[in-house]
Order: sequence, then C-alpha cells, then structure tokens
Amino acid sequence: MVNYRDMSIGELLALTPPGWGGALLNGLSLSLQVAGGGYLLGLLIGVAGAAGKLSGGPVTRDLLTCYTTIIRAVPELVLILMIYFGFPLALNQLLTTLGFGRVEVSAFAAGIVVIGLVQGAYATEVIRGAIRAIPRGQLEAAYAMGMSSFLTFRRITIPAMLPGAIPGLSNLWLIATKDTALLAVVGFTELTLASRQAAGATKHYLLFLGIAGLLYLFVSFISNRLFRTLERRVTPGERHA
Amino acid sequence: MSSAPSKRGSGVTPVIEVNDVHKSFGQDEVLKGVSIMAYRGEVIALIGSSGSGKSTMLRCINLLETPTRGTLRLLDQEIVFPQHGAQRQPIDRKKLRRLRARLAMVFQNFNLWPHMTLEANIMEAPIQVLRKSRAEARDEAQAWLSRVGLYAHRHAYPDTLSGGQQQRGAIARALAMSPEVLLFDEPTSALDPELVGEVLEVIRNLADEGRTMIIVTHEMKFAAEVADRVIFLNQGVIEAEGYPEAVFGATTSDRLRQFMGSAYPLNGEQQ
Repeated sequence: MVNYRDMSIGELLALTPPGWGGALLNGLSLSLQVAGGGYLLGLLIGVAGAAGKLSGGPVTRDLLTCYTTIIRAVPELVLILMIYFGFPLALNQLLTTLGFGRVEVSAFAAGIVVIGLVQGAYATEVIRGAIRAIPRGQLEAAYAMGMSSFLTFRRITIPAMLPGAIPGLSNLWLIATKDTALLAVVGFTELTLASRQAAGATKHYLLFLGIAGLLYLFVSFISNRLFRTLERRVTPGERHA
Repeated sequence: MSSAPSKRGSGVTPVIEVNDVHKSFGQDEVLKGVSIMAYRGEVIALIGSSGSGKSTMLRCINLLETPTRGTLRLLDQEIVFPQHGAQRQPIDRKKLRRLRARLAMVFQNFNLWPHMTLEANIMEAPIQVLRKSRAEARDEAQAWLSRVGLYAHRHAYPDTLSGGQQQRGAIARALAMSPEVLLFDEPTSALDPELVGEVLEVIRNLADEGRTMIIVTHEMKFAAEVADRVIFLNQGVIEAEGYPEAVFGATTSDRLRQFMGSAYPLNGEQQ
C-alpha cells in the first residue's frame, strides 16, 4: 500500500507510479482521441445530413428529421448506455443469426460512435443553416456554367458556408471534448474517470479534479485559438486584412 | 411574329429558338406563350416593366427555370415541354450541363464566388467543366481580366471590389467559357448610376465583336443603340418586336409608349 498522505504535490503528479500524472495524461489523450474521432464522424454526418435535408427527397428529409429530433431530445448519457450495452447485443444477435462469430465492441469504439451520432445531429443543423445563408445566385452561377450539383456542392457550397458554420462547429468541438467525460459511466478511463480514480486512491480530491478541470480549460483555450485562426482564413473579408 | 434575321444576324437556322413557352409559378402564369428566335451574331434586347416576365424568359433559356410547356431549341438541342399531364421525358442532366456550358449567363447581382479571388473565379469552370489545365485557364483568365480592365485586381476577393468591377469580373468569367451565346440578366440594375457606364462599355464592345447576346435591360438608350432587335414583353406576352428604331420610334403599342413615357420619360422623348 502506497502512503499517499505523506507525498508532496510533485510526487503525486509524477508521470510514473506511484505518481498519477501519467494516468491523467493518458486519460486526456484518450479523451481527445474519442472527441476527435467522434467530431470527424459528426462532421461527415453533418455535411451529408445537411445536404439531404436541403435537397433530398421527402423520405430522406423525414428520416433525417427523425434522426436530428431524437438525438437532440434524448440525453447523451442515455444514448451512451444504449449504444454501449444495447448496440453490441443487437449486433451480435444479428451476427449469430447470420452464422458469424461474436464481436466485442470496445468502449473506445462505442464512445466514438455515440459522440459522432450526437455531434452529427447538431452539425446537420449548424451546416444546414450556414448553407441556407449562401445567396442562391452563387449556386445558380455555378449551375449556369455547367457545373453539376455535386461539383457545385464541393467547390462552391462547402467553402462558401464555412464562414457561417465555423462558430457553431467550434462550439460543437468544445461540447465533444466535454461529452467524453460521460464515457466514464461505462468504465472508459478518459480524463474524468482517470482523475476520479486518482482522487479516490489518494484522497486528494480537490487536487486531481482541479487538475482535470485545468486540462479541459487548456484544451478549450487551444481549440478556441485554432478555430479563430481557421475562421479568419475562410472568411473572405478578413483573409487579406 | 416577325423573326427574320436582322442587320447583324446571319445564317438560316437560329441559335436559339423559343417556341410558345409558358411558365407558371403556382397559379401565377408569368409567361403566356412567348416565341423568340436569335440568330448567330445577333444582339437582342428584352425590355419590359418589372413582372413582365423578361427575366423569367431569359432564365428559361439556360433552364435555370423549367418552362411549364413549350419548345426550346438551344444550339443543336431540342427540348420539348409538353402540355400539362402529358408524359414528360426527363432532361438528360449531362446534356443539360454541356448545353449550359455553351450558354453563359451574367446576373444582376454578379454572383461571383466570395471565397475565391477574381482570377480563381474565372478559372473555376474552365478547369472543372471544360477540363482545361490550370496553366491554360490562368493564362486565359488573365487575358480576359485585361480585356475588362481588371488585370491589376486579379488577386482581389470580390467583396473588396466595386459593383462595376464585380460585374466586369462576372462578364470575364462568362467569356472564359467561350460561350456561343451570352445571356445578360439586367446586368446594370444593381449598380450605382456612376458605375453603369463602365459595364455597358464592356457589353457594347462584345456586341461589336459580333457575339450572340440576349440582354434583359432597363437601359432603353443602351438597348436602342446596341441591339439589332428589341423585344418588348408585357404581362407574359410579346407586345412589340423589331428593329430598335421601329420599336422605339413608331410603335403601335400603347403599352410600350406608356412604358417608355412613364418609366423613362427622357428616353421616351428622345426617340
């Protein structure tokens, strides 16, 4: 049994055991990986969802409305539990019926899927709004020159909607980093669970949860700077100022 | 309807033939059977008050609007829009795109793409649609920009340019497609009065080159001066058509006289 009570703060935060610094950084890294993976998945869903809502048929639009409504209505914690416990069950039932072996869904993969699905629903709305703000004439100009819908979407719509979407999308990224904390409930040792374990083992609650808070703050600080740079780069009026 | 080739027009087959085209938006019938022929090298001015259907007519020509019924013969393609209820064959998307690439349009609001420099705006469609190399597209873009007096601004973004400069840029963008027909949809209506001249000057030069153009405009003096043929649309039908001198000078249409007199008293008196 390690005697944490007599250790200095420096020793408690040492990167190697008995210090907990390494475990915290490992948790941070896992949090960022899940947040990053989920965010990218969410962006893909968001772009496709926005395109579907704006120019899909009635069936596509209804399905997408169901998706965004349900995901945005159900608490993320419930979604996490459903996908972590429910989804593998259903998947394995399906695989067994089809004669395949069972698969294990890791907490990491489930985390990315949950965050991706949640982010996708919000991103769909953010991107849809930004696309609708593009003057119709700019798209007509592309069509009038013989550009296809897909080419226009890729070359004109996406870059033209970015200035309007980035503030919303940067918000979503910050939410994604914090949502990873919810994965603690399924025993995924991301930053929050790692710091709780450290706090529980050492009884230094304020120290470790405070450190976790500072790390989240640090992530959001860096992210804000990156998004501000990005926003400046894609906004025509400010790019050359 | 008199659609004989006019002074600059040549050839026996028209490049654009609009035949009895109708267009409705819901209950509102904007075009009630319009027929227009444009011959190669001809400049046609479409005039009429707001809501007369002239912009809708122009937008039907490159199918930004789909006619409710009628026939369009555009270059070598014939597209029939049958009477309501009849089986309509779907328009081949690929054919439509190839066709549009040959009919360039200049819009009232310029519609340059804000996320690209002027030069990139002009290079975009030649590269993506005509599959030209970047180098070739850039050379041509620079040549067209010099032509409209914007070479020095080639690296500028549209929102840093004046309306007149943006519209000249948009004309250069249209020209870079080497179109067979140029469609202008009220190209000077969104401009401050002192910027109208520079844009009309560019269009006038294009007319003098013998390009086939259909221009929707409110500039009566300009129409009289540049067009080979003037078409006056009123409430979705052609009310008067012919040589500018004939239409503006000795029209038999009360509506046209009223239109010229009320909206443009100066122009009306000059004619």
